Amino acid sequence: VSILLPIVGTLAAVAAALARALAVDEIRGYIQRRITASVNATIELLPSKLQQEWADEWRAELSSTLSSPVAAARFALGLRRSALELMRNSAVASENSTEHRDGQAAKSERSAGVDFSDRRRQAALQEAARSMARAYEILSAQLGVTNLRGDLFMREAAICAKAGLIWKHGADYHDAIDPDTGEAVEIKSMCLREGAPLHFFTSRSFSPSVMERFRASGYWLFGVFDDSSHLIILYRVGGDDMEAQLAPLSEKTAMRAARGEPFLNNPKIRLDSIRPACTVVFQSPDFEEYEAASGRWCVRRRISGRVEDDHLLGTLRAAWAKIRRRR
Amino acid sequence: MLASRNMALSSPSLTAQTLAVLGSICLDPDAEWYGLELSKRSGLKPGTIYPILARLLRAGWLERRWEDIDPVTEGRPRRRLYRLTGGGAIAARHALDQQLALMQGRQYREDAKPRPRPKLA
Repeated sequence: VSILLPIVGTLAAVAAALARALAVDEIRGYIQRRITASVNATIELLPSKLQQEWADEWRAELSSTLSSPVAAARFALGLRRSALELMRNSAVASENSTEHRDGQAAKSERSAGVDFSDRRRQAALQEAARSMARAYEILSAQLGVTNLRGDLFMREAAICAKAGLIWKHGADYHDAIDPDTGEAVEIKSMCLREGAPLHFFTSRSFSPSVMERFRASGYWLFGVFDDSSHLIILYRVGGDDMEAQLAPLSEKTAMRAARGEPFLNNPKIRLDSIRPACTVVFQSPDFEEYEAASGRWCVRRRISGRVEDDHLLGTLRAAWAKIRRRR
Repeated sequence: MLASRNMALSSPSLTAQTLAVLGSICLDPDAEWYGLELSKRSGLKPGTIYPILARLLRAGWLERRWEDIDPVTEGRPRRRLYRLTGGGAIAARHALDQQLALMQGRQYREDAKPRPRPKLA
């Protein structure tokens, strides 16, 4: 026993040390893999141009900190913040490359945007929109809530995603920027009331600065949504073609300013007046345009198409049952 | 003002963090730094320095290059090194001087404020 005990003890100690070393190595390796994955995910968050600019540098810096997992984890967290800020600044830079640049640099440093030309963001927005649309359907069908029309961001974002634009935040800026051409884009939207003529509200206080912003827009997008905030139809009108609409409003604004009267409140742009100049960017297969008896253009749900609306489906089923009973 | 002296330069927004970075670089204006090293010297949280570097690069105050080493021999990837441009060095020093003057002025005004008298028991 006196001979065996030290030998067994030594072996046990060696085994314990070995197991500990392996466990530490395993845990360290696991943490390092997680941190590397986190940094890679951060890099993938970036638009491709920024990825090309920063990915190699960040990976190189990460490799020099990886030996210390705590420092590496802090570095990975910091990178996430950096990535978000770089994306914001990149959106601002693309805005500054347009004619809008003069005197706006300080303001635009503070503005934020979402680049919807990125497919992953389009998918994320689509998922959010689906959830919200479902929420609206529940609110409407099960709770009878009818005033579901105030979701301005979701509408603008849906239009940006459809057209691949960078959505801009803040009242002083254009609604969106076209990442391909750098043009400023003005977005107007409305909620469809079937049978009613379509018109789009412009601005609650139609001041000369609003007019200036409108005139600086490369093109306009007009979106029509249904009650559940699904985009039904999206029209595009060139900035030059909008001048016919803007000129009379500009005249009225100048007159009001001269008289010291309050500015126009939300003057409307009718679909009829822009329709000859517009192109249809998107149209839901469930809806169609038609010319009403009054000669005005309207949009309605296609009866022959796919019917998603539970209420309408119920009405159709009830009508069909009535017809069958009569037979 | 500086931009008119050197047309390639523009003025980045000079936040406290940006000034800290500039201050660290200006201690040795000819040296080249990599991001992690610079953030350590500036006292910034690791990984948060890149937007500042991007702004300074865009403004023409900094320039950068990839380290000239063989990664296999060195056993580590190449780093990207940053250093002040000629105009950037002048602009940075000017910005730091201005900030210092501002802080000294504030200190002077604070010193000049009448101090409340101790209440008598």
